[in-house]
Amino acid sequence: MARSVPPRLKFQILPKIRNLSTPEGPLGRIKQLQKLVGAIIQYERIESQWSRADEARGYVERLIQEAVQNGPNHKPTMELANYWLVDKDLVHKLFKVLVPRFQNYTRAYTSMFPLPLKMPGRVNYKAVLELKGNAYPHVVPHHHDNHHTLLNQLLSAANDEYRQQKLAEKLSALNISMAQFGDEDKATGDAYSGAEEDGKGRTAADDNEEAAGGSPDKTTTAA
Amino acid sequence: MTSVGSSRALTRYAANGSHKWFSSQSCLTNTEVRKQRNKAFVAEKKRQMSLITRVEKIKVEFKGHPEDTTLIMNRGLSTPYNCAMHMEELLRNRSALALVDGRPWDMHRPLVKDCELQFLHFQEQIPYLSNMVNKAFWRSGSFLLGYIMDRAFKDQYYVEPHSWPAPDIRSGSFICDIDLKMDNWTPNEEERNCLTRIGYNMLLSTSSKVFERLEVDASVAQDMFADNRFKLEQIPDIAAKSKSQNTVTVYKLDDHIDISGGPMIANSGLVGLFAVSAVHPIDTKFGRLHRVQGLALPTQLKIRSWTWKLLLERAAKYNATRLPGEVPSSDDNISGSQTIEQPFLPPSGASRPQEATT
Repeated sequence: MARSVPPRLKFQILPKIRNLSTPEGPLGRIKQLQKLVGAIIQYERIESQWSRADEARGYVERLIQEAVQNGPNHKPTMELANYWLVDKDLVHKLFKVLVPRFQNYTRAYTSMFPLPLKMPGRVNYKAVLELKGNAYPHVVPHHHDNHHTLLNQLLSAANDEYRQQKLAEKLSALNISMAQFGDEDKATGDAYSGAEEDGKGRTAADDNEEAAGGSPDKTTTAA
Repeated sequence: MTSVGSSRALTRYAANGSHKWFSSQSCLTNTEVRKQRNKAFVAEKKRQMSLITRVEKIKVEFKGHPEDTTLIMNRGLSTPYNCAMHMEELLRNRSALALVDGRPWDMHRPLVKDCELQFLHFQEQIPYLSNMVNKAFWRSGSFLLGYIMDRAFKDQYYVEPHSWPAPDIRSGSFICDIDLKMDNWTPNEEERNCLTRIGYNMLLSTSSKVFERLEVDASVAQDMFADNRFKLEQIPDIAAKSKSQNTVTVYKLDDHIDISGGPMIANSGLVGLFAVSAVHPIDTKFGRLHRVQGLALPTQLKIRSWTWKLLLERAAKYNATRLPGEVPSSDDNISGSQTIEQPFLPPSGASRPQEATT
């Protein structure tokens, strides 16, 4: 079953086409784009000038979108594929490999990353354009979640303590005690001191297996 | 102050014919006690090793970097560290804790059956794994404080470590409660630096020291800790709570031995920055004790001096985590271990992470 809803694109497609500079004029532009579209379908990740990659991206998106929506038995779609893909093997790849892959996508099928400028040198904006779900490693490295390392736990606890202290100072300046501050404080406190509570719980859990401690008491409490 | 332990020790030493340290009870020295305890530990370890007369093979399935592999190891002899030796230097150097069938396991504790193995380090991404390693590190820090205080004083001061509360990282410092037998002593800055330096002397020694784990019978443990009145009192209770109802887990680092459920980190080389931040006198039902507080960071985690000072200032404040002999507050009791540990459950399918019990 083909999807009927086209994917939502998070990038802008320009209202006018770019006149990519070629000696052959508009036909040269088309040839260049055919080359780029074919390369993306074939290699799944390419590096190019930013403007060219961006221009080709719209065509690739549309081509895959038509293929996903209409399938290989739709004549206009087949003509479109035939026109853009000069290497005819790629038509098979489009319908047999990419259409199943992108069947349930709700967002763009491609992603694009700007590359850094080489300095010093000519200003030449470049980009990487790729099909999603490819087999290569990620372009942008995986984001590391360091919240729970020892150091960050210590720092966040220190931060919490500092904020509590500041709050108490402010309240004492206004002649309000923390107890009076009451409900509001409790509400926020509960929200963000979840980790702290966990800490307490962990200590309770650990108390049992932690070898030393006032052991006679523990037996009584356990009983 | 008359205690069963001290008098027992006296008779024992007298029986050995070594009178020279003991003109009276107060002459029990840390050095001698340590030596005796070590002897008992080594002898017990040797005895346990001699029980393994036949080498049997077990299948260890390793998961993770650099690649998933299956290793054939020796039952009761090979440790996770030995498994790491077959793989990559990185794993040997940075692994603080092993995960055997989803449970934390010391790096130098022999494997006993077919199992799945993973290694943990100090920059784990998954919260419950990270929490496991952090707790092991904090516990090792408490152990280290015991190590330091045990050898910091002259022979006339006999030091008896009491215990440490369960590790709580967010409290800002790890703790060891010790009977220093000096009522109102608190160290000045110089003395604190000296204490820190004793720790560094060991940490920076050329070969990193390994945390050795040993499960012993309660009677052996009683013999080992005959000179510590607190531990003697604690041992029957700890033993009763263990799986076999009669074992106590002890750890040894260099020549310091203490009781702990563990797990500990692999070796002392994993500790980078270290400081004894404060010593506070505390009043408990066991009399006047001293709460020694410290702060340390793994070598793997880097920190700026400014931030370190900030953390150190906080670690010097009195840490009000549960005092020895204090009943856990009613909140703690109600929440219990079951409900609160929920957020740290592994994804479904894996077994529930639990601190290894004795």
